[in-house]
Amino acid sequence: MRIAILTPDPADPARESRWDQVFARMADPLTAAGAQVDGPAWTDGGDLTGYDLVLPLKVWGYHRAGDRWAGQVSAWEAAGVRVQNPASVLLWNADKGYLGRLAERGAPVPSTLYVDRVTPEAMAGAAASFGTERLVAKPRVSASAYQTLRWSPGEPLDTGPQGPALIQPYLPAIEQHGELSMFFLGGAYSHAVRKVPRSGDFRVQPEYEGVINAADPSPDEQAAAAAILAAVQEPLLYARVDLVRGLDDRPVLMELELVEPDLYLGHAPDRGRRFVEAVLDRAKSA
Amino acid sequence: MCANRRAWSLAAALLLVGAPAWAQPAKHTPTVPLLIGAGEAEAVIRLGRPDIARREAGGAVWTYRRPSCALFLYLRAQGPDLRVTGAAAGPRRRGQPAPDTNACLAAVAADKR
Repeated sequence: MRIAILTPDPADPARESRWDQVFARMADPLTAAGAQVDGPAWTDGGDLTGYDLVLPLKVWGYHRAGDRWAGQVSAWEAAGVRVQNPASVLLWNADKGYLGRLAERGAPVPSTLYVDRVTPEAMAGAAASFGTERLVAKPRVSASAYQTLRWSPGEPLDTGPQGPALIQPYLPAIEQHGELSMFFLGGAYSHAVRKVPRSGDFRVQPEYEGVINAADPSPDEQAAAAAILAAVQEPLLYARVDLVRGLDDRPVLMELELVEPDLYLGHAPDRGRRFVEAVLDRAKSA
Repeated sequence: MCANRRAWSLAAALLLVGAPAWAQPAKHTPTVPLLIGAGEAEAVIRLGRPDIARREAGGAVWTYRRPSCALFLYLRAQGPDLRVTGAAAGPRRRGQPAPDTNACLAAVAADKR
């Protein structure tokens, strides 16, 4: 059984990150189960049709090469590469416009305004529409809180998004309760972690010193995740559902990570057994 | 709102009986709601290249021809991108009844070119 886990572009800054540690946490249990696991860069251009399954789980930085990513995914589809999640998902999940599409199909999503450019007028309009002057703006295509701005009237916008963006109400619950990430593998719930920002910040990622612990989702968080995944309407091999409590205290979708989520297998009670089973099952049937 | 309540009720019911928290589809067939908002590359991945692509002011119409139907995919410019805003199916011959749009979509997707 030959599996490829695609890795960052050697020319991208993500190559300097901890991607190799996360790669090992995914590759090692697969290797232990008898699979041969390779880690070609997603930009290599090599022939991937010889793999039983290709997983783009470590294509960190792909969002900085959006057109190239779309072209590469389309090429994989045309060549018959057995990539999972499906090629169509790898395309639409790259643009946070998917939040609006999922909302139309019943997913609980925060109020969101899409703009071509973040301007003082756009922020004022969003504040009036949402009924709150504390807002967050983030690029439509981004990762790791890149150019993500928490804003109140009178504050500058220069560190925020520089192109197409979405504006949402700021959800203060993230400061106390953090963001819950629920992981689904092979169509079933696996495990969850809660990421809490450091004091004074709102960003939960490890690179911003967010604290991460295993978590047990509450019933309303489980229900929210189920509604979100039902709205996808496509079979998925893996999914990470990131939830925050909204202004009405109900869980809402911050992001649905279907391209290259860190699956935090170290926090899974089974240490990745379900991941291995799901991947090998899909490889046999792909 | 009613669709939201139904989705949440189903999810809650599944949780109560201990079923997996997510009943994902075993097989994927695109539907019109799934396509709404899709960009050009995603539409091509799902349906293949159109037989006819006509640009119009502010958008485009893609036509797919199959023995059982003709599918018209409507795209509108949103910023720099074209995105799907709707679809409709028509008969291949005058006088035939209008086919179901989702059935025509499935026929196009099953025979991607």
